[in-house]
Amino acid sequence: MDRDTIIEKLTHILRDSLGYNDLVVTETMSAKDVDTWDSLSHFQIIKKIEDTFSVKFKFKDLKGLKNVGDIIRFIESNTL
Amino acid sequence: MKMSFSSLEFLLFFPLVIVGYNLLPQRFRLLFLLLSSYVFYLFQHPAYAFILLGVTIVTFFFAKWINNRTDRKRKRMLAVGVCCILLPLLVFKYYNGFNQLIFSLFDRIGINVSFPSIDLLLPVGMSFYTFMAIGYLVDVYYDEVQPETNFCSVALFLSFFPYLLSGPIERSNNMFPQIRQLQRSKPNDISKGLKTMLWGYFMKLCVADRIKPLVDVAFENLDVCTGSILALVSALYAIELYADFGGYSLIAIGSARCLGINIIENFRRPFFATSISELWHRWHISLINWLTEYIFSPVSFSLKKLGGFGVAVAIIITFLISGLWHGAKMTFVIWGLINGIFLCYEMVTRKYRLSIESRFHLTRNPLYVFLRCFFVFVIFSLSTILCRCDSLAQGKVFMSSMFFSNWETDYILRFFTAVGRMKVFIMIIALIILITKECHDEFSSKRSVLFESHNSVIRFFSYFVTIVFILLFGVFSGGQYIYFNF
Repeated sequence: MDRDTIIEKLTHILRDSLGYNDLVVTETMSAKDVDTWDSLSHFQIIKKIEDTFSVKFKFKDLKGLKNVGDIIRFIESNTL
Repeated sequence: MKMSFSSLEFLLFFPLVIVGYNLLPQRFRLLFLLLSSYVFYLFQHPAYAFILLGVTIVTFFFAKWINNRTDRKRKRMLAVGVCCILLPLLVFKYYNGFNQLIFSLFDRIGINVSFPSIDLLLPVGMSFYTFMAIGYLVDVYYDEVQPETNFCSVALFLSFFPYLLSGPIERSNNMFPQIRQLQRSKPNDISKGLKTMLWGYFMKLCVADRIKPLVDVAFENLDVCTGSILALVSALYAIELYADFGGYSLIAIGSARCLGINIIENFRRPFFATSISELWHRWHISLINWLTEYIFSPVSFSLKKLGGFGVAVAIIITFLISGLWHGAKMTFVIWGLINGIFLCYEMVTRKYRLSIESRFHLTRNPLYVFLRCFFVFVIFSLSTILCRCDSLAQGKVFMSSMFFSNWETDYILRFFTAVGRMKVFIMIIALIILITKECHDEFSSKRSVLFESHNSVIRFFSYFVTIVFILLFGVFSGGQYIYFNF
């Protein structure tokens, strides 16, 4: 899956989960930048990413995800 | 002769520690702070220090053993280590409560069963350093920190006197880098630290301890208190809790800052929260961070297949644990459950609320924002007053009296007269000062015009007025801090 497709699908997931239809997703964006991205929404986002991209996070992987860029890199390295 | 932040002993102890710390060469500072922290704790009860030392030894060695093991054994070692650390807390805090629960459950079916009760007083601070020790072991397990090779560093991490008795609950990744350095205090550290402590003392001695007599009088006379009085007491208790614990936290943060050590903020003007979830980003921040990291996250992750329902279950479990952490009483469990349920409600309805707010531009409407803050405050204070009740039965009496009794405001004036009009007047003045500063800090981007003023005359005048207010109107016999009970 190419990077642009990943970003497009990830943008859709984040907009839907965080409740902002006009959210502009950047690689440096993190939970601190969006008030509705807290621990309550975080795991729902993780589940949607797993379902959309057919990837599987281990709990330890989540600790290394500091921003959207890290999520993109994880998806790239775990999908065909 | 116990030492707390508002005791004379601490006012002698603290400057000696600051001076000693800064006069000593860097290589002796760790041992000096460690010994000072244990001296501080020995003033609580000598036996407590032995328990703390025992937990420290277990923590130190298990961190090393976890690090030296492979995957499956690491997990087992972590589980054993956590159990060993938790054991003293379970015995001291929950054994008698558990015993009573077993007794009452069997009693309902006519069976008389109980275990021998143990007459044990919970060591002050145990709930806090137990969580810190567990957090450290888990961080080592996930390779977030390397196990500390210096035993004294681990000992200081768990016993550091500013946060030993009632938090904030610190993380190893924040404290160990600072413990390894232990630099001399800068003038700015001492200045900011003392200012923070000063405000903390104001909150505790002039606000919390001024509200306490009103709440105590109401609870001693629940049968004659009207609904209006109990509603007021419910609101006042929430403020008392904030001023007491928030004040304590500021004194802890300030005293650490005087030593050049930065510890986590614990409260951020919680009554400006417009939702329960926002409240829990502003109230007892260190505890909620710990619970999120070590309870909520792993539970939600393991239940993620269940989607939103899994998150809701994780929320409820987390807040039940939070309630139990505060105490082995049903009132705390119910408190946790109420907060958990409201968080679930907010999670489920978030999208709809956001779309309505966006469509009608509600968040720009000050009245709407105020009403949301008010609603959150009401929910929080109604749930928190349960924690003040000795039992669920007393909680039921309180709630039924509040909702179904007289709501005439005349009775409030009579209540104030019974407590003492001058005492109430001073409490109101202190509350106005607190609310003014809170509003300023929340809405103004400028630094406080008082403590941080560029004009040194205004700055020093504000320190002087605050100190005089504390000396004249502070309650120095107000008893211990509320969170010592947890």
